[in-house]
Amino acid sequence: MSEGLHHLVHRRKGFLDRTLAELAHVLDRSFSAELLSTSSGLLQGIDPRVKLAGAGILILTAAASRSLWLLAAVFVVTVTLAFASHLKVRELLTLWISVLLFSGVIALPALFLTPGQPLGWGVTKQGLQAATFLLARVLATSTVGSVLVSTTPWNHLLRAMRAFRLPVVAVVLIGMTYRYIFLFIQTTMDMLEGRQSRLAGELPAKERRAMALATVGVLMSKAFELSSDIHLAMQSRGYRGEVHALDESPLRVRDWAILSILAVGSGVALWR
Amino acid sequence: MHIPDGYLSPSTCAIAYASAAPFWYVAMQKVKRQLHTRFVPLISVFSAFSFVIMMFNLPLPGGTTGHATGVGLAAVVLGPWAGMLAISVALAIQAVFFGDGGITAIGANCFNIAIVGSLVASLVYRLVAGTSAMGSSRRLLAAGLAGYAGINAAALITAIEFGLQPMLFRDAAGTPLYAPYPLSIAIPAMMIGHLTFAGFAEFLVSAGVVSYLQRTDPTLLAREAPGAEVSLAAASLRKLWAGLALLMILTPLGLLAVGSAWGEWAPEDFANPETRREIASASQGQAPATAPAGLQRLSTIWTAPIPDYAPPILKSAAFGYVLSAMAGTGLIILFSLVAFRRRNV
Amino acid sequence: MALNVFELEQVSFAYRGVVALDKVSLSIPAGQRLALLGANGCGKSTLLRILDGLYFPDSGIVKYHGVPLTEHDFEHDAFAHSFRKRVGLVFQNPDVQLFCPTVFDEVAFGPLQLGWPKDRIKAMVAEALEYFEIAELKDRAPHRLSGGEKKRVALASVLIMDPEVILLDEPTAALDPRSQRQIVDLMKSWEDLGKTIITATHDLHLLDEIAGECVVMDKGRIAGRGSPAEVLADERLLLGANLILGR
Repeated sequence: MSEGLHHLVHRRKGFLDRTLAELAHVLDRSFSAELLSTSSGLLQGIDPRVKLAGAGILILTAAASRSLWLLAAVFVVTVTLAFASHLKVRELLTLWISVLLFSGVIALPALFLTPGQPLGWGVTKQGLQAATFLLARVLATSTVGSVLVSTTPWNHLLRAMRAFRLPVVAVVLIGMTYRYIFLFIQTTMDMLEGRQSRLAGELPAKERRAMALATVGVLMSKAFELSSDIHLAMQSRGYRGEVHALDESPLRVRDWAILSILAVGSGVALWR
Repeated sequence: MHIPDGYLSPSTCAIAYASAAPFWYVAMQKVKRQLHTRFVPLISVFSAFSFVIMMFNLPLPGGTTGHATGVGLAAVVLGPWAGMLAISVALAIQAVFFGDGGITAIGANCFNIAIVGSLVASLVYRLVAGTSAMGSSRRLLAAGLAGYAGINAAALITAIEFGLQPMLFRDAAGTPLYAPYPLSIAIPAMMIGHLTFAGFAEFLVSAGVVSYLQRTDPTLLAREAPGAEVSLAAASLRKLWAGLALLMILTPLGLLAVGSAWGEWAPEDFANPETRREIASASQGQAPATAPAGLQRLSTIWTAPIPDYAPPILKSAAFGYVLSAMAGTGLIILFSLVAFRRRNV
Repeated sequence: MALNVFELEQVSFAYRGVVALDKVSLSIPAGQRLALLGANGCGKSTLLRILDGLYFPDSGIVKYHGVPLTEHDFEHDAFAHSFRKRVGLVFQNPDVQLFCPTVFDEVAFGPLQLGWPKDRIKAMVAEALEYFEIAELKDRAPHRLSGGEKKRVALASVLIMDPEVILLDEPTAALDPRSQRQIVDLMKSWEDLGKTIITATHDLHLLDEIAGECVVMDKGRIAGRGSPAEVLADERLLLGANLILGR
């Protein structure tokens, strides 16, 4: 669903173009997030651990809420924070449109299929509310997630995860995977672009399929070769199977204060 | 297919995390013991590979394209335990850094796709492949079926999780608070897309790549093919297509191919009125005005056995559903565990 | 007489059924700057991996400071740590060498694995980043680095452990001339530190700057040995090892 609107531009194109567009989109997204997260803004100045925990509290609040007002509140708070952190309106709009399109299609039939008080044209009151709940929840939570990722350099986010008792090995796996995703994206793009430029016309379906599968196969062989070489490189620098990481500095009083206010606030809001 | 935030209640998400945790723990122990210092680089690089594979638009029979998760491929090449770890890491990164799938739903997505998907795929692979030669077309078919079965098991559990939401979580007026459709709608809606398009995409990726490896580097398949001789393949792809065709025929829903996988439409599909209609019919299943007759027949096939899930002794239907869903999931897992124990991965 | 850091006696090694080293005997004195010259696939990368204790010979003996190296030795933490600290290998492919999420993590990886005190590591990393002029890149991911930057990070990640033997696999390959110059200047500056530097390369034009002695390899065997001037003058040797084109 995050594939976004860029697809609209690529209508009716073959798998090569669509896959390339999708890969390029991931690169774009990570690059613009990197730029924004290292610029100055309200959220950029807050400890990543506080942001991670804060986003967690907001997402949980939205997920647990039984009131549309509370969902609206989470949404408004997040959007306000986003603007104070110079998030681009266009990016948020793109996110919202793709979320609404995706979940909208899923929510739409609920208007008619949910049993309850009829409102006319087969729509029920319960159905309308159920669809609204689903959309409001998805909108609020996806906005929180997006704001967190756009204002926090991803490696800081990774280190913040350590503070919340995520085992070191999980953090190392995620970090190394993230690092190699970009290598594979680059390799794949090089391979596909090479083929794209050599193709004069559109290939028959069977050959397109064979080409896609061969690309995946080559990529997999490379993955295995790469992993055994990386293994040697790690061993060469003293890796013995246990990963070690530097410790983080403790949270400041201000950070604890922000988190406590947020936690108490959402607790009270949910309780009422 | 990746469940976003907001579709499942927090308690469902918590249960999913709690159910996934022991599998992650056991998988970690097993794979560490097996791979020693190679654990971290192998799993990381394979996760990165899976992440990129999930972005491939695969050309499918019938002119559409579809995404695969690579869960079958991971299970066939790495085995169920390493496979579930690699796919879990890829899913977690998609959710946290790229907003694809919810953060509260990471546990559920990992449980459905990475854990259940891997175990089922691996089980099917071993059962179908047996000790057939490394380069045989039987092994190829086994790989394809593994992907197909893995993703469909994942879809079924996802559908059950969706379908339980309106029974368990509604407000005083009866408004469903999360995913709004009952099992009778959620299951057919999910399964139509997965028994056809998403299933075929997964079949293609596993079988296609295994065929590639059979011809170029069969040693990569050796880990999950105990007792098979390592030899370069002579198997032709024709049998693979025969297998795929057979699958389409055996799948009654395949004859009624409606469009694309439920919940996997690219936004441009909505721009096209024709596709939009297809999507609408795929998601409603029994929509009042527009559902084709075939679909209506189908939904009765699916709805008919569902009341039987609830044993009559139980007063609450919802409780019965939860129980039967849990029993179903439990059976699949139990079966997989028993089957793997003998081979001791 | 200079003591030998490494002595190889009749070392053979096959990788996936292909012979990579065929009865290689070689001694490398401490403090020598040795170039392993050869075309792609001649076995020089394999030789570096054997010297770094990553591969172990199928037959023959590798001695480090006169003591045979075996796979068994590396099962003991104390030995593994001390060897990994004293011998460092910079891989040719930066995507293999740089496996951490950021430049900082990359440079800190070795010291962390060796169990050095954590409070010291931060300062050491800062110092190393400064020395290699990559301090401003410390939060960058590897895929956001240029070829020359990647190479300097790779060198920093190994040199931070201050090894006595530095093994370099094609350090100047695929770099623009300016980055090549930077790397060569760095390598020259280590000459006075008394380190043993073993460089695998097929770049003949940089030879006299990076090495005092050359070993020419061909098809897993040693084809010749001599000073850079001697080797460069021996056209038949270079032709035979596919290092120059015949006329």
